[in-house]
Amino acid sequence: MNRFSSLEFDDTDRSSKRENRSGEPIRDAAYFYRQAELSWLNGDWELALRNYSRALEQNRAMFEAWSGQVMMLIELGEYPEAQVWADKALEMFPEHPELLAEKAIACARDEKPEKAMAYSDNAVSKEKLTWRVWLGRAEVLMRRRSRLAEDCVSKARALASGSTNLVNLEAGRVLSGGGRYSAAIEYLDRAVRDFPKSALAWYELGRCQSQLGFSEARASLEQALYLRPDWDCALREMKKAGGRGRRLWRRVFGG
Amino acid sequence: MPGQTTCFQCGCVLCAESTTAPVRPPRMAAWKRPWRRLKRAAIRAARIIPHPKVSQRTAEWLDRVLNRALSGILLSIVPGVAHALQRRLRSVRLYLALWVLFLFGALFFYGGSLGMAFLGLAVTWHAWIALKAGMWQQVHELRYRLLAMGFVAAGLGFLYWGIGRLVLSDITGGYVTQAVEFHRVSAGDFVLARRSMADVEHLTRGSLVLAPMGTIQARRPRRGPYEVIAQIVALPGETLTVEKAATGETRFVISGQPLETDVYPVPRWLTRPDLSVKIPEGCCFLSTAYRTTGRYSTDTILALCVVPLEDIEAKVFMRWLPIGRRGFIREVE
Repeated sequence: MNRFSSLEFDDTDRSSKRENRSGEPIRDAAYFYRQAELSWLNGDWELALRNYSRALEQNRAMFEAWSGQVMMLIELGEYPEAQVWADKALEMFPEHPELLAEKAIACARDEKPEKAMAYSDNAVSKEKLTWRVWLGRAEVLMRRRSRLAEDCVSKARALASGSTNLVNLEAGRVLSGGGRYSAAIEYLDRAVRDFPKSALAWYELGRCQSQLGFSEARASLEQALYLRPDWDCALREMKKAGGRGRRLWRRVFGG
Repeated sequence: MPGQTTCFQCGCVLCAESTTAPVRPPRMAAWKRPWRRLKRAAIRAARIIPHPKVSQRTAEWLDRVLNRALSGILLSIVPGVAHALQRRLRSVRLYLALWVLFLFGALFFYGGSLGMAFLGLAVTWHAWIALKAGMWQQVHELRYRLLAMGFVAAGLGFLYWGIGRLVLSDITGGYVTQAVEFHRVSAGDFVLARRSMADVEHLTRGSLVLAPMGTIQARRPRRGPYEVIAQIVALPGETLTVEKAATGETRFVISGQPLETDVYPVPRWLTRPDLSVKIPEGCCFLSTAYRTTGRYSTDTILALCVVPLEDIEAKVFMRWLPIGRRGFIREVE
């Protein structure tokens, strides 16, 4: 199964949804996985993690759910736990490059750059690399302030061409995490066109625009809040984006 | 169907697996989040990347010194943190115990020369721990080590002074110049005073206070920044006189009412039988001993001893040194 084959971001695409006789969707692994991905696109890491776990309860051999769990732990800032869980997943999927890349991201965010680099090196030395592996390497390199980071992002995009558009959103997030907001905006602009109902995509775009002092930041963040009302991060960013003086300062001095 | 776990026809589970593998990940306790954030921030602060323009050799040296030595010193502002991050806290546990001991000694003997000695030891010991976190591995020559020690100890000295001022901003102290039998204080004792108690509510007759009374230079009163421990004898509106009792002792008399000499001793320089002072509103009469001889005019005494209530810095609440008499000061009225 392709990792994103079960996703439905458009209301018109209902053909793949499995329903029982009474019209309710069948709550199988694919259903929970779909819910998890939607929660992720909504920026709700906790709910996404729960849904990935439910998907695993239905099907323990579902690699995407294991990988999703590790990613959600990373998003929640629980890096040591993410490493433990990646090890657990590696017992089932030994030497899987995506899990190694996720371990690298967890180490990098946990301020362990040497370990992160080692895991990333190990991940890219494997066969059948995915775009997530290259984005993981980009993040590791970006934290080391290496100029090769953007090349890795380009490589990830080249690998993902035609399969899914999520790479734009992820690439934008990696670049904005490394402080390269103007480069990130390019990717995030495409991401919001591909996923207009994703609060996460709008929030990330708004954050980058706010960091660069663009007045469009408010509109993007308002859109994120419209899709996910009372989202703390978006509300905080909205407050930051507020003042004209601050916007001017950021426009001149960049963040 | 013996030996089968599922029905071959309908796929029903016939006997469940004895162990179920976990599919829910371990989670972080909420209280750990800020600590982990702090730890990551500390690691980030400690990591300094060398400037790309300097030569490779200089960059390596700078990297070594800044990354290990300087970060070790900065992280050791709280002694042991750098070692804890380097996972070798055990190597300095004895140093830390001694530092705590010195610090405790400095606090216990605060105000005396022993307290100062302990404080000096605590500062230098702290500097030693900070330098042991990284600098000693990089610098081997004695003169450079001494120089580093001097700088770090001086910096920590300033830090201790600042923290002391901040934490103990309400507490001050001073040496008693006039013995007061009732309060069990003698000349030379060190007492502690609280600034927050220097208000009209807490200031009563007999209270020991820290006040700017000035000095006597060339038989003339000089107002200055010098603060002395003195006793409040007369309050606003009262008339103070000094008289000789039948027993031969000199005592204060307030509006015709004589005061007990063990509670209100009269300093030698104020033993004037004709002294009569009317205390103005908002002021009080403070009595303290000066190292002086001879008699002074009423104007001089007024200039020194009549002090506005608002000028009083703090009220004494504790006898601190000598340790044998350590205890709280009793209220007279």
